[in-house]
Amino acid sequence: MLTDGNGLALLGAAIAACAGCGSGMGVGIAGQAAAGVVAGDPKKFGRTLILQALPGTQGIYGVVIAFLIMVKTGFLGGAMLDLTVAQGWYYLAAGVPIGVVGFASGIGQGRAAASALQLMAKRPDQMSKGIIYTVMVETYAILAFVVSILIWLRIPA
Amino acid sequence: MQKISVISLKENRRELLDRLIELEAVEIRDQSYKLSDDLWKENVYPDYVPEKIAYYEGKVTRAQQALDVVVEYGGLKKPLFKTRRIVSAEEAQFIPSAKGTAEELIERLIGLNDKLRQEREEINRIDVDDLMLEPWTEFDVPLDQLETRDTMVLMGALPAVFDPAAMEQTVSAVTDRYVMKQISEDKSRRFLALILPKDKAEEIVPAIKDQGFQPLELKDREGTVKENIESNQSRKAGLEAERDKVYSEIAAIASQKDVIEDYYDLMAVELEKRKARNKLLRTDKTFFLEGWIPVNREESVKALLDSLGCVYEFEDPKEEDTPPVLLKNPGFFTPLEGITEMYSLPAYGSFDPTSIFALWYIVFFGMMFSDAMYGLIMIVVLGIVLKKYNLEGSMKKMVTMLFYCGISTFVFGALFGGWFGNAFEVVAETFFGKTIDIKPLWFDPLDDPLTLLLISLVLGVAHLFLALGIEGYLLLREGKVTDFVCDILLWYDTVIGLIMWLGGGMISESLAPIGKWMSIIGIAGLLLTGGRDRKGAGKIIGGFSNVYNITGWLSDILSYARILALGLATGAIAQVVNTMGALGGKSVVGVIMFVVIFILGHLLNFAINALGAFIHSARLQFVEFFGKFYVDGGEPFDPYRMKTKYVKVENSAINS
Repeated sequence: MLTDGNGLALLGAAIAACAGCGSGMGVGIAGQAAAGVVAGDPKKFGRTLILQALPGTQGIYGVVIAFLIMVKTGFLGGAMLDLTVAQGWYYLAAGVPIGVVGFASGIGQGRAAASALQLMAKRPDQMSKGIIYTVMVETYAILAFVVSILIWLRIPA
Repeated sequence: MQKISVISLKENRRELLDRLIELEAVEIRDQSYKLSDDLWKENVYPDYVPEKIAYYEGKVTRAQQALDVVVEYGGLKKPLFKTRRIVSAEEAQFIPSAKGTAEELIERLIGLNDKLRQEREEINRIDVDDLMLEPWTEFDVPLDQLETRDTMVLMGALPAVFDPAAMEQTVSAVTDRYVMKQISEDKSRRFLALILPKDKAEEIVPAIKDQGFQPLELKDREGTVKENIESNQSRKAGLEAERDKVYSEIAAIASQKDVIEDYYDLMAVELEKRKARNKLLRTDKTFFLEGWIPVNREESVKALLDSLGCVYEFEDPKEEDTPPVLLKNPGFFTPLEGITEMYSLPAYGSFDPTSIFALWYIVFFGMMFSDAMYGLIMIVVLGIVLKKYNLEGSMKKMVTMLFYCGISTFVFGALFGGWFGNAFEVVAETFFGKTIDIKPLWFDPLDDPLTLLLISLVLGVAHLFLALGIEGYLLLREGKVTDFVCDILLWYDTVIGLIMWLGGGMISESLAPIGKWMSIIGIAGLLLTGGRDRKGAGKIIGGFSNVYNITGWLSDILSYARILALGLATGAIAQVVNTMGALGGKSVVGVIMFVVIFILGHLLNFAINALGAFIHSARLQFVEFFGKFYVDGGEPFDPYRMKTKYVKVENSAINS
């Protein structure tokens, strides 16, 4: 497998998509806190939903990279290119940053979102600050996303 | 801000408070703390009127309850933005005369709401009863005839996990004069009726209860179960008809919602006046008021005080005072005050950077969001909102600011060639088989990310240098020339020097050596002056920690790479959405698929990246820019004014 370029490239796409694990856990953590807040005040449902959705972006970034890899390698077009082993490793390298960082930052962002939800329950007027804290975590997912894109961009087709 | 102190006769108090509220110029401060001073305590007492405050609070609460009822059941459309109705001063004079009508409406609404609640509870009870009766529909013994002289009917449920045969055995072990019949069953229970001799009941009932049987008590009922259910249904229908009548009654009153809203605000203003009075001190014949007033608002207040013959004094704030803060920026920049307020107001007398970072914020936002069509959407939608709705306060600031950001997004989108990503190219190629190429006006960051990275970092350095410049200006203003040289100039020298040394070679060979010497001088200077306020070994440690701050500068500068990152994210996700949409190819299904994916995908991308651009652009101000010089902790200026929720009275006193 490690000497099959196409296999390596798809492994890269698969790893990128694993950023969704982080988002899944993050959204889950935030969702638990959100349910607690809504139990106290059902009117806050809409606002809790915003905070709960924030850790979901890592998964989207991961899917975007996975998709980009699948498009460029022709996997989605029907006829997959014959990649060299080196090219395969490049695609694998493109998938790793968002896959790994997205995983970790999704969980971290979920925790921050949960705390922001507590903040909102006590001080609804301060919700915007809670959102800021939460989005701060995403910085690192965006950076990893960009590294993934930059690698992907420069892989000779 | 100036401190204003007023002493006047008690007779003037009411008129002063009535007219001062229209000026919206003075923040009245609670003076009760002065009573801890013996001299004050001997002579004055607070002007508390708790019973009046409670009276008006009650009125406001009841009006609010009534309005809640109207909003919930009145069938009125909810507006997108809450705006206040503008009422001319002449119209406003008639509001108090409608007080009686409003109170009557409020009482009626609250009464109707109580009625609704009772009806709802009654309907609930019926539903519960129906649920209980339903399994017994086939049981046709009238419920008032469940007993004879010697026998009784026992109804009940047996959970499905228990065996009815076992239960029957228990019964037959005691007597053979019984009838047991299953009436119905559902997923979890069997519903059984038993006819038993009365004299054996005491023995049988506890035994079968032990086997899981749950007897059902149906007391004080007449007729069969079926008849009971039918009468329930007709009662329910009656209640529902009545409920609909109440709804239509509420809807009829809803057309007079304005009257109640007027009344609410009238009471809220009265409450505000009483609360202001609570903050005064008084003697038997006079009262004392103290508060803060912005410098440019003094004239109108002075005129009022003179006309009432008050004794007053304006003073500059003293060291121990905590005056409130009112931001004052040129008109174009006021919308950006929302960003400053979001962080925290600057401490009184410290520097308000709103007008300086305003354009930076807008530019950063545009570079991060960077899609011309997204920008166009913002311009059109927010433009309509601004035109159509009478927004006020922080909402207006926010929407106006985002409108500016929309323009910036459009400009940078066009420069970087993002029009819904590459949607037009994809559509042309997939559905029309033509290849078009919309050229960016400048360059496409996806083709040349390094250029955008460089631009981001250069902008970052400029932004940081500006912040350092403000810090330097503040130091010079305080006359701290040494600090200015050591903490500002040396840093300019070091950072510029390092950049020239490391990167100057790209522009001209001669820059690198100059940069080298500039940085050496700078670092040496930092090393020597870093510990100038400390003693002994602290001088050395201070010097080294000062030099170590170079890493802080490095991370600050690199932080601006997020401009590139968010810009690329918008473009890349948009392109993926378009590519995914085009996967269906040139067919009817393909077009439908494209439209659906296009709308959902771009909606999502817009939401993620608009939020990202908003927050990360703010972060660059809060952390990198403010970090250099900002002193926070100001209390917002909250003048004594009509805090109305629904009505805005056109106020000639303020505009003049």
